[in-house]
Amino acid sequence: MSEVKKDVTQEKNEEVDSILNELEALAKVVAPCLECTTCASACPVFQSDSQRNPRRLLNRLGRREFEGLLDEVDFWWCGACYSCEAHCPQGVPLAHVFFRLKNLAFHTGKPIPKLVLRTGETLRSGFLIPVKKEITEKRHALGLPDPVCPDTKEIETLLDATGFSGRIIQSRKLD
Amino acid sequence: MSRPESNIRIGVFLCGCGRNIAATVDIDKVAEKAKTLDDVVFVDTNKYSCSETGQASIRNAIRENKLNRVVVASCSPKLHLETFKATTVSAGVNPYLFEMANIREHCSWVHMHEPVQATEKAFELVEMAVAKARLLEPQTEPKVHITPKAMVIGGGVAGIQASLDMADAGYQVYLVEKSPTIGGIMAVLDKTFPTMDCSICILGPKMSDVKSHPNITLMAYSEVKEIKGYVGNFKAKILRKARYVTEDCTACDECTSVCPISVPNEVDGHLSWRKAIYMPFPQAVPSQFLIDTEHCHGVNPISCGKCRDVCREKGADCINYDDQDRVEEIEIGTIVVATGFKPFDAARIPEYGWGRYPNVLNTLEFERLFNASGPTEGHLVRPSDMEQPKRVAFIQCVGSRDQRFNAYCSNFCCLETIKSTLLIKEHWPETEITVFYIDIRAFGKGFEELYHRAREEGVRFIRGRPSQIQEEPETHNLRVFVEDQNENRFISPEFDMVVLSIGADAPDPDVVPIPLPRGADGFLLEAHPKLKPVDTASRGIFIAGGVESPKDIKESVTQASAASIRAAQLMAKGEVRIEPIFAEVDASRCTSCGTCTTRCPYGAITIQEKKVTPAVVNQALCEGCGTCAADCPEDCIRMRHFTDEQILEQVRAGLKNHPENKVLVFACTFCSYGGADLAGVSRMQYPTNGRVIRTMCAGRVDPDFVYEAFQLGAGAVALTGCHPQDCHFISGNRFAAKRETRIRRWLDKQGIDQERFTVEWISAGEGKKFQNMMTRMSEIAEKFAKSRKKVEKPVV
Repeated sequence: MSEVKKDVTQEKNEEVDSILNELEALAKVVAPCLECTTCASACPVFQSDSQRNPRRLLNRLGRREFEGLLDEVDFWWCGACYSCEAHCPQGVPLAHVFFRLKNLAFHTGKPIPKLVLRTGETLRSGFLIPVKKEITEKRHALGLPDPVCPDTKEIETLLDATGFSGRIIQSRKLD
Repeated sequence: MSRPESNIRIGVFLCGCGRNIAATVDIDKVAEKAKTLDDVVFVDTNKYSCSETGQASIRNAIRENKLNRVVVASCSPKLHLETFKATTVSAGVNPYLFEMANIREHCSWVHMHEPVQATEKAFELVEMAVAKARLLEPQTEPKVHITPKAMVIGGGVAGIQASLDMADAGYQVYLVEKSPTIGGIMAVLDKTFPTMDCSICILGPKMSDVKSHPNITLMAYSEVKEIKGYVGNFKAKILRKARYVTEDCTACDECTSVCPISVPNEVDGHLSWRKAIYMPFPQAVPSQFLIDTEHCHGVNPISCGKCRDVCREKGADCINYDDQDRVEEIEIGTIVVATGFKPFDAARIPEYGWGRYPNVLNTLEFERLFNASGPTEGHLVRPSDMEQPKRVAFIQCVGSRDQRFNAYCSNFCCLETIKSTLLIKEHWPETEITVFYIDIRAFGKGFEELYHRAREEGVRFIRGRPSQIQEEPETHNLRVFVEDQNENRFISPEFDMVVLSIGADAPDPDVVPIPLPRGADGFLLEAHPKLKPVDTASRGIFIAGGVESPKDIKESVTQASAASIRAAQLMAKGEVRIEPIFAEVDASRCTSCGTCTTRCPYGAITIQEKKVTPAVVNQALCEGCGTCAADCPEDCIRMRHFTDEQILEQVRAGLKNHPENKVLVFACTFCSYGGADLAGVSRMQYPTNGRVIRTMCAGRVDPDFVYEAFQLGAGAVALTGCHPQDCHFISGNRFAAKRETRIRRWLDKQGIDQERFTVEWISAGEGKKFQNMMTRMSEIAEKFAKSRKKVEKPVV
């Protein structure tokens, strides 16, 4: 019995180590950051909500303040528009860093904002943004065909295979 | 080749360099082991070998032990070779019987975490030096005459200062300037920081001094096309471009009123017009007009001829349509390169809209707008509507501290902006001024005080680098998108005018027609960053001003004065000793094949083809690269101080133990050896199995050296040198590169994997590249060493 317990703690430790290693690797990636603020001013999320600042996330990583970093929800708001990366004078791959943070948070069972979970739900319908009448009309005006709905079965399979569906159920239970 | 003498007494002196070496390398252990080497009769350690006490103890030891070969294991020979050569001479031993082992830059500093292996390597480096020392021969340094004349390239403030200093010291100076007037960037500025002096008012008198100085020959509108020769004896070809206006021109300005062609004035940042016949600005020196043939109707009386007509009407005849470009040849002893930096092109950052939005200006345009002799005679207006701006923003670090363009800080832009804000406040105090910055760097004398004044005057400093500027199409006002970092919020304030504080780009690679080493940033590299800041790797050539790094006026002037005293030192002596590293031909074995004559870029080695006599070396012309010796099919050319036998002995000593793990590197003294040194100075760590052999040029590396290394079982071999266009011996490394195919064919025949040999061009500024190469090659060596062990096992 005690042996099994030991194994579990060991596994836990290994997991913590691997997360720390990953965060340490990310800290190295963001090391060139001078905090010039260009990323923040280019970020559409920050432009409309000063609470969500990509620079401050980078800063926390760079200072190696890992405690509670994955519980942050800010990086989930990154829409991967790559504005920050395109503008960064130091060549820091910010969007890439936020993807890595999202993946880390996802795989370690950290809370995921409802907005993101809802996105997963919406994806089951085949579209990220529900197709409204206005959209169809605009497309017609531009001479574009009706949007083609992808195979929702396939999306479901993908979401199941990547463990996304499981995480949604898990998050609901946590709620 | 046999040993020159039988009674060889080698002394080895190990330096701890304080803790720089001793912290990693156990020098006592190295000393113990060094005692066991053949011919080594004396070994000693020093805390600082280069100190007076250190040198005295070496001197005494040489005398007391009757040493006739001296090896000092310490720092790079690029730092202290001359120091210890002098010590050796003072003890009565020929300086060419001295050899250095670099156990600091190539060992202790790059293996800081591996003391055991570093100690082992240090010993092997000593062993290699001892191996070469055994075969060293005494040499006499010939003296060469120095022409007491200097050429200064570039007529900005640095070039002007250098010319005046040397001319005042009594030397003849040729000042060559590419553009029609001297003055450079300083001549177009309005005020200078931190004293707010009027720029042209303090530079103007110096410019006229240049013109009137009896010792200065001013060659404006001229370019240096070719430089040949060596210290004290340079020959330069200067292209004097046709001005079409003679020196009799009194700058009466009548011609411009009749000239029908108007073109944007580059001096005013294209904010005003000038004519096709023009003088760049009123204070230009020489005060002489010129015709811009690119825009003139045709430089002949049939096409237009209005300027000549009016000039003749006024009773003068200064316009000469028959003027032609000509080439002048000058002989000089020393050269000062002061060609300056290039202002950064703000159009390369499209998000700031320079060139698209009329009210976005760069620093130089702003200076002209503020300048009394500028397009608006000093009235600050915005180009879109000629209205005085009420809200002005400055953006710092445009093109600087930016990995996409220039990673370095451009040094002068912070104070340039602070000065400009104060000037606006002085004239129009009600103007709202905002400065967006990453860091304000006000490090110089009087700089912080100026920054303080700007804050007192109410200039707003906002920490944040804007991501973009958007123009309001109606008003041409500008919206700046930025995070106010101190307030942690996004703001997008509106301005009437935005000034981009542009930094400095490195000079063009072909700015001088002679190879001079450059750093990774493109600026010319000094011979030593601390102790020889205005010397270059080429003796007799010095650097000053913005060509070395971005700098302000004061620093440029300081460097120019430093460069001129360095040049004057040489010229004052009248003669200089040169290193006797010459090629020698063994006439008895020479088959007169003529290969060597095609290798020599200096024409120093010749053959009389018809008579089929042996090749002859002209020592005055030989620079000592050794390319001829490496390619001689009969191996009958001997390079003094870098003989085949000496280098092969180094190879053998370096590969004595565990050759399969070793990476043998041939490095040229000017570039790749410097790159290796830089890796050391920057503490860039790499595996301990590298062994570097220094040659004058990559051209010296005979394929036989590489063959020998592989036959002895070397894990990997690297042939390194300058980047092809930077070769200090013009074409040495081109011929070295040509040997690669030959070497690779040989490797194939021997069944040696191609991966184990590499050719790399590494400049003295590319420490990182050297580190990467060493790491990669040592992985390769390790890979093959392992696989070889597997094969060998059954035999054991």
